[in-house]
Amino acid sequence: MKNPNYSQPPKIASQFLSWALPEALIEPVLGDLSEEYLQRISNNQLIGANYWYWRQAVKSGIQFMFKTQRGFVMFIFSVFLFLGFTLMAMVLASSPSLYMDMQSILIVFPPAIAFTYASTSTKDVKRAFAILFSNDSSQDGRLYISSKRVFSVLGNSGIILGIFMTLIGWVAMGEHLDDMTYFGSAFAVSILTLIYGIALKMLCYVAEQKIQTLSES
Amino acid sequence: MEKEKFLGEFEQFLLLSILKLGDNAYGSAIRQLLAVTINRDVTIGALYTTLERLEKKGLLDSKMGEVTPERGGRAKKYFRITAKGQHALRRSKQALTSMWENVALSQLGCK
Repeated sequence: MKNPNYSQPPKIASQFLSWALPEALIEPVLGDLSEEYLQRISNNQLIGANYWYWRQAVKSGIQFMFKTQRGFVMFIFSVFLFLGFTLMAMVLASSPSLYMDMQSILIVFPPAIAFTYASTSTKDVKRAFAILFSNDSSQDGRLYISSKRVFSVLGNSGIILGIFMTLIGWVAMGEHLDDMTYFGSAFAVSILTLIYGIALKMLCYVAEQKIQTLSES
Repeated sequence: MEKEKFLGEFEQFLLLSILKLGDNAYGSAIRQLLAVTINRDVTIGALYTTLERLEKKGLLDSKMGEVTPERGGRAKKYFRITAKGQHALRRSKQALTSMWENVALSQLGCK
């Protein structure tokens, strides 16, 4: 068996809890849990101790998360709501597979991401996502501006690429106006590229506005 | 007319635990006392939510204590009941005692 003195509580559970807790409670709460966890380990209850720790961390974390990380929780909730309703609309219209086209995905997303990295920096991109998910409003003002720029470039590149690729598709379609079987499917695929661009822009717009709100609070 | 509310059940349990533990009243000790004494296994989050609320109401005060290795180098937060807290606890106890006066459970239709 592992030496009890070297047993550490489950790391992911601790990280989740310290993310969810208010600043002032991180130290006493994690300390209390750690102390009781070690007591359980020294009573030879390794599995029980881990289960107990996870249960405490998840339940307590969820409880505090809605107070301390409200903005983040609402952001994730709204994204899932958007995806859920989009999927529902697809199912009601025909079938979700009609809206999946790997070629269109590859035309919009990788170039948009590459443009974002090219016009900002890897550090900026990482920080933009960190700020978005951390709900931290205490950073330097310039960091919020650079983070907003990341989402602005990502969203705008996505929508411009969508329009651009759709137009390219239309040129090809113009060549085959007389053949309606070709025209129909090519038109659907070209519009999909535009839809992906608009969806990316919408998510980036919400992220950008969220960072704006953080910078003003 | 008295408008002040009485303490809730869990609030009373917490204040009483703190009184019982004296100088050793911190999160983990309170949690374990509740588990042993009244078989109530609360999460640490629920415990601190109520402790914070009681502190805001001025019924408790707290101070950070020593750092120990078994706590991963993190300090304890010790709680102590204020005079206002003792008054609130006494009031709630008196209210319950008065309500229980001349009440016999057999008269309530329990067989």
